[in-house]
Amino acid sequence: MKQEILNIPTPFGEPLVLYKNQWGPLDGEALSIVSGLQGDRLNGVMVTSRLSRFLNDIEAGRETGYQIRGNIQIFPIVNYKAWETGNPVWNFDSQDADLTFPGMEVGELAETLCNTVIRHTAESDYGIVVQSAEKHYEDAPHVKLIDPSRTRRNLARSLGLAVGREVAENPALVLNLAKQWDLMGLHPFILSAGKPQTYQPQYCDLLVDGIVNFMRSQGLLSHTREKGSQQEMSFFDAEHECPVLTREAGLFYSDIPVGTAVDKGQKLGEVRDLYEGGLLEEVTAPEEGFVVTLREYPMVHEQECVAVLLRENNRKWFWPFG
Amino acid sequence: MKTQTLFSRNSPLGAPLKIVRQTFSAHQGKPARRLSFVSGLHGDEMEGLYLCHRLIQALRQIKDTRPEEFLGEVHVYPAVNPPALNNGSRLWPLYGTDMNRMMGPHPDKSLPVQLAQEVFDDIQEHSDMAVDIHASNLHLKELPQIRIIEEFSEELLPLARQTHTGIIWIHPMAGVFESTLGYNLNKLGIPTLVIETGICLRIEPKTVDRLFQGIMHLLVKQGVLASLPEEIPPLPDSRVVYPREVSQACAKHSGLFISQASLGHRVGEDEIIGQVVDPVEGVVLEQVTAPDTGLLFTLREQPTVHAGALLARVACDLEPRP
Repeated sequence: MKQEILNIPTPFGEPLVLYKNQWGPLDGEALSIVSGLQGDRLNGVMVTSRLSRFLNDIEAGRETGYQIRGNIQIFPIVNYKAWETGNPVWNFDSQDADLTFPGMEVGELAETLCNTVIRHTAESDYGIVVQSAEKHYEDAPHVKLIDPSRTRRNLARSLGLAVGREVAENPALVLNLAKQWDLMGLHPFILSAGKPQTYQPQYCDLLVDGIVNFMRSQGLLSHTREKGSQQEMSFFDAEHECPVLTREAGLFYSDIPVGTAVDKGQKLGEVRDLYEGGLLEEVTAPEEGFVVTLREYPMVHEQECVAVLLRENNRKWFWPFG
Repeated sequence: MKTQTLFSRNSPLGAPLKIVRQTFSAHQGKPARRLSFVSGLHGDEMEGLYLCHRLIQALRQIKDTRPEEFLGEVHVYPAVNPPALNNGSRLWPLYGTDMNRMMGPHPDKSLPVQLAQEVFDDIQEHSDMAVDIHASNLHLKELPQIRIIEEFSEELLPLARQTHTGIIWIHPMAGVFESTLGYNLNKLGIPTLVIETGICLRIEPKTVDRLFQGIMHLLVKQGVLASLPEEIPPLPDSRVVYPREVSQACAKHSGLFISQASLGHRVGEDEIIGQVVDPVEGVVLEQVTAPDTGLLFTLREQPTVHAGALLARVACDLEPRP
């Protein structure tokens, strides 16, 4: 059910209203799902919109066999003003909402929006942020884990994605929603797939199915016949990620799609001169690995990161070995 | 003066992206102390650039006429975020990233992170003490002040006093500081003062001149310069403001803030300092009053406000009401 969680008058027009959708008993296990932290991450919003339709259909009896057993909340939009502009941040404050948590109850608009989400999710057991890659990059679908304990890895296995990736510590991490959830005792997961400003249905299908499976596995949803399942997943720690940097500045043409497993020395793409088109460099994989992130925007400086490899020799399998 | 390039990346368009450091070395032998001055982390904050200009100009003159005055070493980093400075924006325009949220250990290898890390490492390598100069954001105008996080106040307060900056504000720690240049240098044991003044995209020459004079006092007291140039006058002591001595007024309504007060003036408790008005309906939504008696050292300049927005800060004469 769509509920208003914040209503702030604006200086010149209609009020700014923040919504959440909520289903199920308030005293059960609780899951909060958030998208729309940046104003251009469309895949996340499409995923949460589809999940909301699915949960509404269950509630209305249109999805036979399903029952909602836990408390499920979805927050489709957080940085409302950024969504009005289609940019990752609202130009008025240049504030990345995912560097604004926990925010403040009374403060500048971004702080108030973020704090509203924090207050409404504080009692949850699990938190999922749905997003896509940073500007100019594309991500293969994967789960990011903060402080990945055995419990969290096991939970991640029911999200239906093949790749788990540890979020590296950095000083700004404390301002992220997922890290704040971690500090508040929730199990946080960040699902990332695709690129900003683009709706990619194949990725969204994967994320929707994964989240539904997670809800079944954790008993938030039940089905008369189907049960949630745990999937094979390889998990990569942060210190063994391998960024691939260009040697030359120019235009980067990728030879492979994101999500490809590559061998050491395999060609990933090439850099060509912007003015004359001549070949400046063949970019090759420095290690064997899985291309989890790939440059989308072709203009690159010298030493620009064009891909991130998750190195195969350091991955840890979590299924079927447990 | 020696000009050194500390960061350089070829660009696809032609002109490389470069950051320079200007160094004034000790006249003889090992420098007594090494001080660094940094500006331009946010590309819309111009006051620091002008302050660096004044400083370089003065130090060049001393070096040319009385080189023996240099007992220590000065490094000036006048423009450390050229893409944002050229764009007049707080954030690096191509990536939308805030350079002062990327300091400290960072696993990412994106170009903005590389730049932030190399600037940070260079300052760390060349400094016994640093000064990071900022203007305010688009919204608030500030009296010239040095901001000190409480946990560093014992070491930094005596150093801040040597600058004779009008206000030294000791404030509580917050998560947002953890990824800033000042916090991370202080954490590494390099005492770093953060100057905040004016408003972005503007330069007030008189204010900068006064800060420049204070910096010259600091250089003498730190033993970097042997004596104060004749043209630098004695300066009054700073006012130190502790956390409990700051009161703030926030908007209760969304609208346009019309200021009726002057920055740097004393205000009385409950004195009217402005109004929030509704430009659409033509009504006054609230009279904004001073939260305490004292010095008005922050004042809203960008009139568009949402409920909760900060309008003013007062350095109180007495402890604020509970």
